[in-house]
Amino acid sequence: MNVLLIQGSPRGRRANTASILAFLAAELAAGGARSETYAVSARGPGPEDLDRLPAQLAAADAVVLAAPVYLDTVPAATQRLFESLSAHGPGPALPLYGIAHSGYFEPVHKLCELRTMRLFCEAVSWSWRGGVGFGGTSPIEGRPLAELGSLTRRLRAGLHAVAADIAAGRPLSEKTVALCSRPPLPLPTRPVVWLTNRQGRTERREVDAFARPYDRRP
Amino acid sequence: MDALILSALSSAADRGSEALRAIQTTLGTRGHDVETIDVVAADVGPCRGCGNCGLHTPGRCTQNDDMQTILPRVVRTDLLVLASPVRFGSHCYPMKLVIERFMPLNGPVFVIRDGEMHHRPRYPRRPALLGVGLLDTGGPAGDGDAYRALIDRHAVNLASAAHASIVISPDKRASVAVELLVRALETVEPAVAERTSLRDRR
Repeated sequence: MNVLLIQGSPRGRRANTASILAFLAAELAAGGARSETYAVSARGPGPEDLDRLPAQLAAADAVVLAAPVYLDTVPAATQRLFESLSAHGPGPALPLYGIAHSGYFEPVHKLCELRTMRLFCEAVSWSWRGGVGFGGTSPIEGRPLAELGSLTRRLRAGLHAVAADIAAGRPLSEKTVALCSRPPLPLPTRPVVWLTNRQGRTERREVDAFARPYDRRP
Repeated sequence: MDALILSALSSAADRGSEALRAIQTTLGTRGHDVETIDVVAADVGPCRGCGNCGLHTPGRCTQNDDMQTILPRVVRTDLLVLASPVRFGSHCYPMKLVIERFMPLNGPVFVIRDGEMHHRPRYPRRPALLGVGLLDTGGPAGDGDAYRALIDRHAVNLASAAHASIVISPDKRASVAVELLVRALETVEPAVAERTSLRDRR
């Protein structure tokens, strides 16, 4: 089985999405599936990409699209990829799996992004095989997931389940979706907010962090 | 009452121009001072997710492009209108490019809002939000509902003073679209008027 992993983050190799897909690629390989990665450029696909991408899609048995959440949905670069593929013809019908992730723990932050992925599938007559949302991915900072230890334990467990579903050629199971929806740490929102705010205290003191440069009319 | 229209409707040919004229005229007749920015023509790069606007240049983006003039207008307006063709339940690419550069409007700390973790807004008074989505012929059936849900999420994320959204399908006559627009404006205008009055008192 050949899986095309589309990295929908405009941040390239430094992206947390790249770390997530690198781990997923290793999990897929362990399950006997081959994969290759296509990364959207910061402004979305240009003419060169659209020459290359159809061949990658034609060779794929399944596609995984992973993207961070930028203001509630896919980054502009991924939006442009959808629009370009839809306009130029997306090639043969393929099964698509979606992965949305953000720093926020709550699954609700990922819903619009996953819905946009599903609607893209419907528009180009691809087959939507389900999507998962991971929270608390900000601390990854482009590092291999295993380096972060317990902070990514649940993320890795979720990706392991995603890879198993993909390698078996089945849609993401309810169990997989539920596993991926767990917060990275078993904490309610209030202590997470408190801990996160505590981290930036020193830096905020050193600069005018609460400045409002556009507050007054010129 | 100031209203800022960020419009990507120029990418939707005649239907887009008609819809934009209807929005401008309706807002004008209801007493709004209207400014329109065509985001399709704007020189705006993608958000790099660098985080500089949080702590290194607080409230400012380090990219030197048209967002340097768009962001102050977004901060100072009373009503922000996002008008765009709907693509897969979302904004079209040029609009998405612009609105994801709203990061400098976020403060450097987090709060719980509507039971969810969010950035605390950098500015205490935020504009009301109106989403106007132009549906295509032959788009997925759920496009309109998804777009409305997205505007609802934007309103929580941006801590908008009030919000509403409408979707204009290809079969809707212009008069029906205006009726929808008026109804949506009636929802947000009390908050817009309150914001205007607070601003004038300062």
